[in-house]
Amino acid sequence: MNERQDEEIKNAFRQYLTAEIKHPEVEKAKEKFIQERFGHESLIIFRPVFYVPVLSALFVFLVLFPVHKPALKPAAEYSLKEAVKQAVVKEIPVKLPGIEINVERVSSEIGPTLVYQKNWHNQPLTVVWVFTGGMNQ
Amino acid sequence: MVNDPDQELVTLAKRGDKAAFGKLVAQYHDLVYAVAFGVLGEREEALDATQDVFIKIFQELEHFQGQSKFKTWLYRISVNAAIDAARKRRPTEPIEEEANFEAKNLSPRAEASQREIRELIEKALSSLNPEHRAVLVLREWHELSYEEIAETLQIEMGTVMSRLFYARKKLAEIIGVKFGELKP
Repeated sequence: MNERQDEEIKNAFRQYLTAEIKHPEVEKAKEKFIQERFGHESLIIFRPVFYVPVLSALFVFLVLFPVHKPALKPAAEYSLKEAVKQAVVKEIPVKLPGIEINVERVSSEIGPTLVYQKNWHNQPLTVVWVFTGGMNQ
Repeated sequence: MVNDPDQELVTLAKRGDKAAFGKLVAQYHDLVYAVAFGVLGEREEALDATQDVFIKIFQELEHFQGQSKFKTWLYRISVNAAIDAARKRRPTEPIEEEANFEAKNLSPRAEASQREIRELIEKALSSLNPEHRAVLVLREWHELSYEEIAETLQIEMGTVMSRLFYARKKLAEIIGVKFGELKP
């Protein structure tokens, strides 16, 4: 093997490896690998080091201070205590026919009589008026 | 401690800076892939081996003390990983890589000639064991000195020379005779 032939073989071998390294498939794999494994750092808010403690703190806060959303229960489920709590006072400026009184105020506050409607869709509302002081009131 | 041009990026990567290590990967991917492909002779295997080398290096970077240059350490790990992969592969597995010399601006005859040269090189390489192929790549493609190859592979310089002599002889036997008539 002479020197010239040795040099030609070396060049052929170098060309063989260079062509392989520059092959589009290899270049593409290289770019993909770098991007996926060692790409630019993402913004801090997208890194676990940031969002994991934040979400944990939020979870603890919600456990300690739960947000209550008022939910309506069926009337039958209201206890007497709850009914009192939810006392409603409305001004109703109406006149009752044949009676010389004006009803200006209806209240469900607790008293000797409790007006309680179990199911207002199917049953007429029964109102019991108690006038402890007579008709002159 | 040696004077290493990669010192700064290595220090940052040691602290977990992935982007800094990404720059090292971009810089040395060709080097590692050339070793892997030179030893394994198959693209998919060589790409897998290359990626394994970089992942392993990133994980073990904290153990790199700077006794040698980062590049030398990288060569050593690359060659060992490629030789290990070659040994693990099934012995009957053929090298099926197609010829892919750059075909730009080549006549059909020149293209065919290039393809034939490549096939001959593959045939020659497949007749060598992984250790011989590794020495050949480090010397002929990376142009490392005998001393550098010996340091990288942690073998005697005499072993480097004998392996290289044998590898060149094999190449010459298979492609040297026909070289003159094949050259475009």
